Amino acid sequence: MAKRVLVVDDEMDLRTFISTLLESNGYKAVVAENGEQGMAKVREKKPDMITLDVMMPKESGIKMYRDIKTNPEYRDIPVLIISGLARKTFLHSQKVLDKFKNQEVPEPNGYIEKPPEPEELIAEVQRLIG
Amino acid sequence: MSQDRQPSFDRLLLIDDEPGIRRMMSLDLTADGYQVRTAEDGKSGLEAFRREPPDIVLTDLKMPGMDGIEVLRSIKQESPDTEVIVITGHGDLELAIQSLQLGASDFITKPVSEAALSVALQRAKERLGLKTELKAYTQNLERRVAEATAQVVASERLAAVGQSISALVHSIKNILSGLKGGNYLVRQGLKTDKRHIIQQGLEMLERNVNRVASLCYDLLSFGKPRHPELTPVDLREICADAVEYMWPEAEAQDVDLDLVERAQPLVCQVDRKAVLDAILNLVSNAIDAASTAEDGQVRLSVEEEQDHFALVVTDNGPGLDEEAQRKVFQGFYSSKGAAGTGLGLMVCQKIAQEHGGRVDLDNRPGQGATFRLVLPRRVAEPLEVVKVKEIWD
Repeated sequence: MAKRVLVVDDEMDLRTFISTLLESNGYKAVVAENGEQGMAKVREKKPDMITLDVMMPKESGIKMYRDIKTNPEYRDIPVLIISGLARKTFLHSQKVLDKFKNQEVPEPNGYIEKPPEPEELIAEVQRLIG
Repeated sequence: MSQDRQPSFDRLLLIDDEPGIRRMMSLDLTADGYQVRTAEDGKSGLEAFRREPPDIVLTDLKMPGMDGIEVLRSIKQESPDTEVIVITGHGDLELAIQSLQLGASDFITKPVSEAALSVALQRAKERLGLKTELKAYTQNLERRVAEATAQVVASERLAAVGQSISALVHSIKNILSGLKGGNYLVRQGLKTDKRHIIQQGLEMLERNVNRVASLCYDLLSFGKPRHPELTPVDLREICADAVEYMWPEAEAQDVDLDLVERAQPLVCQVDRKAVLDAILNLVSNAIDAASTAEDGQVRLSVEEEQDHFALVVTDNGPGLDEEAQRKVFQGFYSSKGAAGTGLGLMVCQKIAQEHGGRVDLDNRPGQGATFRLVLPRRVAEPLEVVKVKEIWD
């Protein structure tokens, strides 16, 4: 069965682009518009991996990322961040939150800065879930 | 040091009707290093003063025509900082006191003793020096306050710009992603011969090209500091123009666009183009919002109040959620995802503020939103009032 990838991004164009790219490469794409919807889809669809935008209205990717990585049931799902934020900035925000919340969250499994190149993106997905 | 830079205050104007005194005193004073000009009566003295103001005026009190008291009064009125020393005859103590009350710095009595004159001049010069110094301090202080204020304002502005730039970059990266994505979809569609993917890709390209265009437009109109060019405009015309421009858009999105008619002209001093831009922005937002409702409606009307007019745009869309309401007037926030630059309302607000007005929001979550562009009523050109004469009486 095709592996299932959850695509979380508030931009419709990116959801369309990434899901078409995934489906053209033999994956099954599921989409969500923000962190809140994203978590619901995680529970409901049990994806094999997640591509996650960071800056989204309502619930941001930063919170969703921590929710996944601190939940024993979901922490092993690979997360590929796809964001306009620089990797360094994202990692820094996580470290600050680690200290603040006194919990340690691992670095994301992959990181791509927007705009994503199709080849790079699909290579990362293949690296993470084959 | 600062002493070197002090002016020497040696320009004198001597007013006395007696030629002998004028001659004697000016000889003495010139010898002491003063530059002395003389005048023979109050009137010509005052003229000389106005032509080239001296540092110190020496004036006799009793003169034919305009007397010394009058001269003193005029000079103190025109130039309070000028030192005036009056010269009085014996027994004119009352006049001398009156002149002190009027602001004379000193008086000396005739016959003028060189020592008394020298002391009076010295004191006048000291006072002038103090006044100058005080003025310099005050000006310096004012300048420093102005500089410090400018610095604070500049750094706040920088912070605001910095914030906007990172938000702007975020917005551009999203557009770029859309362009790349569209490009990918078209290629992919061609490769696999899937028409609907090509179609999707082209639409995505088109949408994002439009986003670049409106981003540029909004940035330009936002970046431009401008003073509105106010002319009397009938606000009904602006509304009619807005409806004319926007109805194709409304029709495309299946939204009813209504204009509430008013019988009377509503003339207000505004920058016609700017206000039209702002209202187009609001109407366009309203159409987007209403298009999600089943029976989408947008209504445009003009309200007339005591001190202001308001252009009112009401939609029956979903209204704004809490986050949108909080951020709606911030730059680069858009609840419309790919459709918005996040600058439209900021531009509206700027235009309103340039007119001394504001943009108000009446949000009804789940039922719609009303944006009011409030424009203060300015004194418009008086309209011709046509009176209909009663002919039946």
